[in-house]
Amino acid sequence: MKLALLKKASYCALSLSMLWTAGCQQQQAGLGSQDSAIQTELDKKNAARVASLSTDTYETVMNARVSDRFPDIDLIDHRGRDLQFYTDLIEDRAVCIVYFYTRCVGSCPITTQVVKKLRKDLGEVFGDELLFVSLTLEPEVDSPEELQTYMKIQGIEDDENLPDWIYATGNFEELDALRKNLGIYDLDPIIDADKTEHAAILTFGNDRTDRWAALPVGMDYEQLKSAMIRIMGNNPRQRFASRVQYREEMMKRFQESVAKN
Amino acid sequence: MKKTISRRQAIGSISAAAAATTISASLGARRSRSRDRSGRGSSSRGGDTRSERLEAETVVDARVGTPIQFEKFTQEMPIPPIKQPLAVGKGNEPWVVGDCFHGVAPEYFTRTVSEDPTLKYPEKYPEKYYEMHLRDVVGEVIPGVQTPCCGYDGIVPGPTFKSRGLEPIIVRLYNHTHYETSMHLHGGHNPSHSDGYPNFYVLPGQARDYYYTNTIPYHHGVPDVGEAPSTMWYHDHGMDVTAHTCVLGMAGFHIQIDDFEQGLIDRNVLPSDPYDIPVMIADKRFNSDGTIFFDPLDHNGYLGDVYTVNGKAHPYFRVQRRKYRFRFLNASNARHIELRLSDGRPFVGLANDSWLFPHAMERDSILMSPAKRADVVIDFSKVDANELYLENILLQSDGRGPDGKLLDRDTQIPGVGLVKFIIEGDPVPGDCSVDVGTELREHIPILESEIEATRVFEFHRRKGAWQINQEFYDEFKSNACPRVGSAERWILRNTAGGWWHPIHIHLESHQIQTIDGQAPPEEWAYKSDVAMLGPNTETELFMKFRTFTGPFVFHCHNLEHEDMRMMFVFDPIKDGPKSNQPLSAYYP
Repeated sequence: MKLALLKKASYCALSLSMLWTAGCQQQQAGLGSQDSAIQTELDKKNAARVASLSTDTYETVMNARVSDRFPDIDLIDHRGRDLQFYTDLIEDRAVCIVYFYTRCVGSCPITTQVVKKLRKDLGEVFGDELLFVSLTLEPEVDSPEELQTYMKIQGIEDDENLPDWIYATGNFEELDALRKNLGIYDLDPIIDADKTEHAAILTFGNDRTDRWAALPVGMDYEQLKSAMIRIMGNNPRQRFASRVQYREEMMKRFQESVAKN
Repeated sequence: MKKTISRRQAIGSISAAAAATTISASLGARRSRSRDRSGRGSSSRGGDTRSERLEAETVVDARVGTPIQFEKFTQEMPIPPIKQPLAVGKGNEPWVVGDCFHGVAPEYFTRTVSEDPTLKYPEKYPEKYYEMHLRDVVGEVIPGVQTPCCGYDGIVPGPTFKSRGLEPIIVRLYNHTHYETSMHLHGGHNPSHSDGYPNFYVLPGQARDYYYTNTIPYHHGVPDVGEAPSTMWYHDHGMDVTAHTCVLGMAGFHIQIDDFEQGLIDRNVLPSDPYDIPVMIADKRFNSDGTIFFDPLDHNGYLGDVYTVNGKAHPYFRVQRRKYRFRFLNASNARHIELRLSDGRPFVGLANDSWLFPHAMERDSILMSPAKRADVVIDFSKVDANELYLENILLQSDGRGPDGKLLDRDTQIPGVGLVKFIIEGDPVPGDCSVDVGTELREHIPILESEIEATRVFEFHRRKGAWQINQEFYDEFKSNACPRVGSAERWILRNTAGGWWHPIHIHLESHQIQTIDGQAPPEEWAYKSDVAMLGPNTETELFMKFRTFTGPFVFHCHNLEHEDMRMMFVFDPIKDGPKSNQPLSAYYP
């Protein structure tokens, strides 16, 4: 029974890796002892298929660039450096933007923990190309010193081996305009005034490929990670090959859940 | 990659003030170069200095509409071409079915329905094989302005499929764009692999065989002919990209005619080609350079100020003085529309969504949420004037939904003209006989006694995103597992405070029983596949889950909300628990 479930789980995971091949034949191919043989065969095919994905970076010509709408406002980061939002943080790279404020006790700590995990996991895919930016919702309170203290409390360090994570503050009006530009707002002014409402969304994209999206932090972590790789990646190989690792991760999860039951 | 590192080194090592100037100077040059390469020019946009940049921003300010002036009703409304098969009949396959990157549905090989593995699909006509290529294309939406779009076979809307009920077709879809895509046949009853599950992508440069059985579900052992669809449409359903790709034009019609409807056409009750015309209405906003404006970071819902009809902005259409059948489709992302003819003449309603009514009914105006279809007959022989406009009279100012005002009634502003009909000639003799009251397709209601389970789904907004039952879409989790062949009562409750959510349930039609405890208007009382949920309303519906096992999805058809994970999975299973469980019987 367990084996049959596992097999089903493997179909599931395969489908999700989207690298599935002639599933019906496998369904007819039998159960049990042949499982591992089929698996090896599939892994080979998957590897071949990943290799067939293109590594070309495309240049988008479809639209006016999304980032053209981002104002190039002045920011100060936790180290006290003056930065410009577009030129220093967005242009020509993959970036993930998070909203927070140091006095926040609602969604911010949860979001921070998710981003911490993402920083480690996505760093393996993107390396130096990726940047995490935390923008404060309360610039009047959050000075660079406050930001540094906050980072210390949250256990975030500047680490050469991980993608950079910049905490930034600035002028309230400018930051508020930027927030609306990034789509982190509510049409209802009463809800919009509640700062914790804005701290549970990750906005991310790649200025080179001009792909942008935003996703709730509360969704499944593996799927969030996978979606971020798919959207921020530079080329099809980078964007979709990770689905193979993803499949393994899902296999593991299914095996665990079967073992538990 | 080299340049990224150098800039990062610059950020890290050089002192703050110096870094800012060095970086902006060096990047400014690169930026203008990249602008030149992409053909948008660097003179007016993408300036090197900050002031120029701020100036450029005003051009694409989100609060300003399309900055292009043009005269309406100067282009003819095109009719999308009929898609022609590559080959017909078994043994004539143009390629090995399933021998492509993403394969074909297992149902293609077994041809069995899941309730009973020995029972084959009813197949009546030979298989047809189609090949479709999804491409980027530059087209003229506004007269004289070149607009890059994205379309099936390089046209917007895509070619119209015409299939017969019980005729299996296979579409090999090649994706030549850089978007990951998943084609959904909206209104169809087809295997999960071909249904357009959001994560069953067709990757860039790859292909997938969509197998449409075009079968009819069974009702007590015989085909449920009332379930035979008529006006379906296909569109992109890829996770995270649906809103963008649909705005760029990835949509088309799929019209299915079964023996019964063909009989109506043969007996000259319903108009047929060339008087049977699909009309896709979608709102768009344009940038000054002619490209389509789309902001992937505006999550409320995309609204445009230019209406495109079959891919042209505010076209005209020449008609004879006779009855025409129009299959209206609202292919907008978030725009709700209320259609009306400019002289107030009622339509003869034939169908809601994919399914013909039991009898043709009079409809003064037609409220359509995104993805809704309305099949109507307009009798131009009774029109004395030579011009008639199809109008949208619904006011909507943001993605939340209609403002609750009708243009002509509440604001003294006339409706927005979508299409101008130019009526020519004398009344045509021997016109079709369809009129209000004409009997159409039999409707088999789902009975209270058939209901096996009741499920409640609550749609709401929390922390900048939309949820169903406090959860986000999880591609690996089945949120409902109905038994294949069973009927269930679903209660859809909207508590999202002012937001409209048109909820689309895949796989089959549903039958709306009550809206806020009251009987629905007659046009929604039969079959639909999109249930419009107004703010703070509750819709009770009955639905059957037949023939295929999942996974399938149901979601808000405001596509921005869908991309933000306002979507749930239902996975009809043969037997087993009806409670929520992880997906186990999952295939691509």
